[in-house]
Formats: sequence, C-alpha cells, structure tokens
Amino acid sequence: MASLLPVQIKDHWFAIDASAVREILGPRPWAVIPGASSEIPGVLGWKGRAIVVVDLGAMAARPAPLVEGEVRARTLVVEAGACFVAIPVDAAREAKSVSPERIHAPQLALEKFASAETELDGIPIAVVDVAALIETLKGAQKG
Amino acid sequence: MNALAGTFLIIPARGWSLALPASAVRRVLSEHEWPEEAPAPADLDETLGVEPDVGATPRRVLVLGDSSGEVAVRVRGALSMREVDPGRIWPLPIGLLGGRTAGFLEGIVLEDGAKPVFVIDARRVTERRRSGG
Repeated sequence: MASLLPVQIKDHWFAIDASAVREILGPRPWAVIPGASSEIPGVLGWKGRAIVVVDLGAMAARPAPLVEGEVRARTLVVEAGACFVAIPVDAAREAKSVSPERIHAPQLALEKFASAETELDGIPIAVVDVAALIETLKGAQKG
Repeated sequence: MNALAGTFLIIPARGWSLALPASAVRRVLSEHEWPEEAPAPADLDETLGVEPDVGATPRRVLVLGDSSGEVAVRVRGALSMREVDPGRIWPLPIGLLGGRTAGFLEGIVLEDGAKPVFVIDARRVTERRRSGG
C-alpha cells in the first residue's frame, strides 16, 4: 500500500508520497530569490539550513503562484533525492493508504507535472513525485 | 559555514540586503571621488540583477580587489558594516535555484522579522566585471 498525503493549494488538490514528507510545519515566511523561477521562487530556513521553496501552485493547471510575502497555512518539508525542499500549501489532510493498482498513469491530465493519478474519496487527484519533479526543474534550469 | 563568517559590508536593496565580505572591499569612495577620466563603474544592482531600494542614496563606488587586481562597482543606499557569527550564514542550494542573481550568491542570513541578507560571492562579481558583464 502507498501512503499518500492530500494537500490543497487554492482549488487544486495534489497527493504526495507521505513517506517522503519529513515534517508538516505551520505558516513559514520565505525569502524570495531575485530572478528565481516561479516554480522555485525562494528559500526558507529549516533546521539550520536554507532549503528551496517549491511552489506547486505555480505549476498547476490553473496557476496560482506564490507572490512575494504570501505565506500559506502549512509548509511541507519533503525529502527529494539528496535534498530537502519546502512546499507551502493551504491545507494538508490525513494521509490515506492506496493500493498500487489504484495508482495509474495520468489520464485526465489534471496537472502537467503529475507523475500519476489516483482517486481519493472518489475524486481524481494528481500524484506528485517530488524527487522527479525536482530533477525536471533542475534540468530545465540547466537547459 | 564558518569559512563565510566574518565582517561584511551591508548594502540595502529592495526587500533584502546584500552582504559583501569586507575582505574583498579595498576602498569605499563617494561617487564624486571617482576619477572623471576613469570608465564609469557598473552598478552592482544591474550586475547582480536585483532592484535597489527606491530612491536610495547616497551613491558610492566600491573598489573590490583580489589577487588578480581591482574592479569598481557602484552601489546606493546607506552602507554599514556587520559582523556575522559563525553558523548564522547558511549555504544556499544554488544548484536548485535558477536565475542570474543566484549565480552570485554564496549564502543567506535569515532572522525572524528581519530582511534576508544575501551573502555575495565577491570573486564572481570581480570575474564578471573583468569579463565586461
């Protein structure tokens, strides 16, 4: 069984692999990096280090990017490969167990960065592989 | 990040401050002290791709130096010196950050209620100025 954490940004719901989520913090101010992309607009402090802020809202089908000074109600700290990233969200629900056969390739193209899709409480929801997303973003920056 | 700790010249900018290692700053001149016959220094704001504080004055010329020589950059705003304790400067995950400015940043000081302070890699600034960028 996979454990998925449903999170909300505006009217978008995403599901993140709960095993990669290290902490769910409250609202955290973040520092914008001049000239940074809307997908990774800045950094925030976590356990004595600066970690990047990844804005899923900026990548959503109907973009709802963070604006400078905006702080969302929850901040996920997610382990993504060799690094940790912060994902500000408006809400996070209790993690749900989903059988692997209920997780499939994106069919409804809910979000362009969705690695998979499933249904939670009968509602299609995009599953985000944060580590893969980070690798994609790194590749885009280099390119 | 002890290697970064030390004394910094703090330059105000819009929404944050910039910190240049004082060891890289050879001289601080008023703009009118800069020789008229010398090429005009480039704005540090433009080099880094950041916005200055609106209407910030006065303007100063910083002469930055290293073993390869000196370059001059123009800055604006009220400059100050600040000692930063070891461990207060956090390295930035530069590999994950895009954009022109990130390439010049070495670390950040984040303190509750205060503007972020970005530590500038003076070596990259001098290299960019020497290359005419």
